[in-house]
Amino acid sequence: MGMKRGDRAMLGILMVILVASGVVWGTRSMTAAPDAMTAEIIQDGKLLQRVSLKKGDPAREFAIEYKGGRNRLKAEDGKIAVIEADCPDKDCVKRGWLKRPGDSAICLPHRLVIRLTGESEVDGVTW
Amino acid sequence: MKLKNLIITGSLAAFAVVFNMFEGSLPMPLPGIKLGAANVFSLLALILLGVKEAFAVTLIRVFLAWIMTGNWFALLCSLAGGLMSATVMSFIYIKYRDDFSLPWISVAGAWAFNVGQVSVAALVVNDIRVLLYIVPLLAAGTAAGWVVGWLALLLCKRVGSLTDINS
Repeated sequence: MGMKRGDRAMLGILMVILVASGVVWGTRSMTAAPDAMTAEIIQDGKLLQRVSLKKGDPAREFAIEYKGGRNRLKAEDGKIAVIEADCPDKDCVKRGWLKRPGDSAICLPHRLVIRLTGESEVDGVTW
Repeated sequence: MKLKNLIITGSLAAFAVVFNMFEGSLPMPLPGIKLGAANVFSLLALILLGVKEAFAVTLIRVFLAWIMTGNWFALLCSLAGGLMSATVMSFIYIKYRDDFSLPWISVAGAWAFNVGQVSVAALVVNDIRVLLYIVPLLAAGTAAGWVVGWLALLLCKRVGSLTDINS
C-alpha cells in the first residue's frame, strides 16, 4: 500500500514533533535529578502546598481531600507518589514515583496535579 | 435515513460498544492510551454510509460506554475526542480523499481524539501545562490509529459488497 501526498505530510509533521520531544526527553533523562526538589500540589489550578523533597529523606505520608474525595501521597528519599486514591480510574496511583523535575501525576476526578520543579525551597513545607 | 442504513448504523454501534468494553479491561502503559478499536466502526460507517452515520456510531458508543461505566471524566474525554475525531476524519474523507489513504485518515482521527482528550484534561484540572501530555499520546495515537485504519480497510473490502446489493 503506497503512501499518498497527505500521508507523507502527516508522517513528516509527526517526525518533527517526535524528534524535537525526543531530544528534550533525552537530555532530561541524561541529567541526574538534583538532590533537592519541590513538589507542587495544585488543585483546581491553585497551588495548595509545596513539599520539599531531599535525597535521604525518611518516608512521610499525607492526604489531600477534595469534596469528599481523597488522595494519599507518600514522599521518600527525594521522590513522591500517590499511593492511594478513592476515584474510579486510579491513574494517579498507576503513575508511580515522580523523581525528576517536570514529572507530574494527575487525578482528573479530584482536579489534582502534582508536579516536580527543580528548585529547592528553603521555606518549603515539610512533614 | 433509510431503514437499511439505520440497521447497519445500529449494528456498527453495537460492535463499537463491545470492542470498547473489551478494550477497557486491557492494561495500558499510560493513562489515556488505548487502541481505539471502536473507531474501526465509525470509519466503516463513514465509508459505507456517510458522515451522519459516522457521528451516530461515535456518539452512541461514547454514551453507552458512559452508562456502563458511570465514569464522568472518561465521558468528557471521549466525547470531546470522539467529536473532534469524527469531524476531522469526515472532513478529510469528503474533501481530500484522493490525497490520503485510509490508515492515515484514521491516524488523523486519532490525533484529533488526542487533542480533544488532553484539552478536556487540561480544562478539568485547570492547568495548561497538562497539554504537554499530547506528545506521548500522539506517538501512541499514530500507531493505534494506523492499525485501526488498516483493520477498517480490510473490513471495508469484505463487507462493502453487502451494502452495494440494494442501495
